[in-house]
Amino acid sequence: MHIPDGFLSPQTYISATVVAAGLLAYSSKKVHFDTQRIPILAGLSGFAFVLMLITIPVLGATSIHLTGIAIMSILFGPWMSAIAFALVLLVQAFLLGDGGVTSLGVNIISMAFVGSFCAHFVHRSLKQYSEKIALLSAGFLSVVASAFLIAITLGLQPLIASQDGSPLYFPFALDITLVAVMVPNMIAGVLEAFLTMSAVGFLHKHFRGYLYDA
Amino acid sequence: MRVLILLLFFTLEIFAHDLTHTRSNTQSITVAFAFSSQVDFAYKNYEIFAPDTTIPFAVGRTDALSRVTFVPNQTGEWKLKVFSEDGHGKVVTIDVKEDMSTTEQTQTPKWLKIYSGMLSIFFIFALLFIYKQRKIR
Repeated sequence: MHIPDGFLSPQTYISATVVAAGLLAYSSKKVHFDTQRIPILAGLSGFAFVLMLITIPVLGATSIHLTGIAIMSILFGPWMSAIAFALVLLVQAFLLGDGGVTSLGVNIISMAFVGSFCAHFVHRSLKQYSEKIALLSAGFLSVVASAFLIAITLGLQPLIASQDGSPLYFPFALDITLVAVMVPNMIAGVLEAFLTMSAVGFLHKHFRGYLYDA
Repeated sequence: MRVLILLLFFTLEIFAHDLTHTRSNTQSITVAFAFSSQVDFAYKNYEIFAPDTTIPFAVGRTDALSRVTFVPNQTGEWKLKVFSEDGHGKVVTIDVKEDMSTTEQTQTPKWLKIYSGMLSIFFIFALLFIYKQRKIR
């Protein structure tokens, strides 16, 4: 799901970097890192990192990966999970060259923030009806919402930066990117839904005192 | 005679449609892409840019084995951009030497990526933990 370098116009990535930096600065004021919770948050961040490195080939032409963002968001709250996930993306981009450095802002906004908050709100609004459905929906929609923003960002590139009608950065229009990004990520969403349900269930059972009280 | 000359003149025009070709064993550069298997980035778009140019030197699609092969005609930093409709892709910089060759570059093994990434994440959280512990004391 990560957008690599060279696919986004400077207009897009500069504004996205500014927004992401602002959101991270605001998040750091909103959260309180409790020493009791840091080890589990570190473990889950490591888990998210590994999940994103495992690529699953789908439809014979592309690959997907899970994120673990909904698990972190439900267990630690959206602000803290966004910060932890942004750290994972930062390590991937700067240390391993996975996902672009210039596109980091867009990746942080779409995966860390949109994914976290989507999972948080969906879980919060559905848990009164059924915890299982709330967890499944949160996992599914966290991936789908992130993918939707990425598809929109990519699909707008030909409109934002073209020269004599030729796109300068990413050539495919919105109607193509929406299908190409959303369809595989809906499959990823289903897998993420079941992962979220089982992981949250397990961690709630064994580490209840160390988690976020939503 | 005039008719013959005229006919001969138009006969030369026939050669305008004769597309000639030459085969050579010039040294080429091959870059292979993969997610998890050898063929999962097959038939995807690519653009190759010669050093300091913005118009592509070559455009096309990766072959059935997810590879791009091209023959550089000058030294310097060449850029190869591969991309698919779903936003996957990469920009690879290839340094072409005097003899039109390049140094072989291999991808960091996945286990090393996982190991170093996990280590970095845990190190940052360990620093945060120590900082918070000291603040409490």
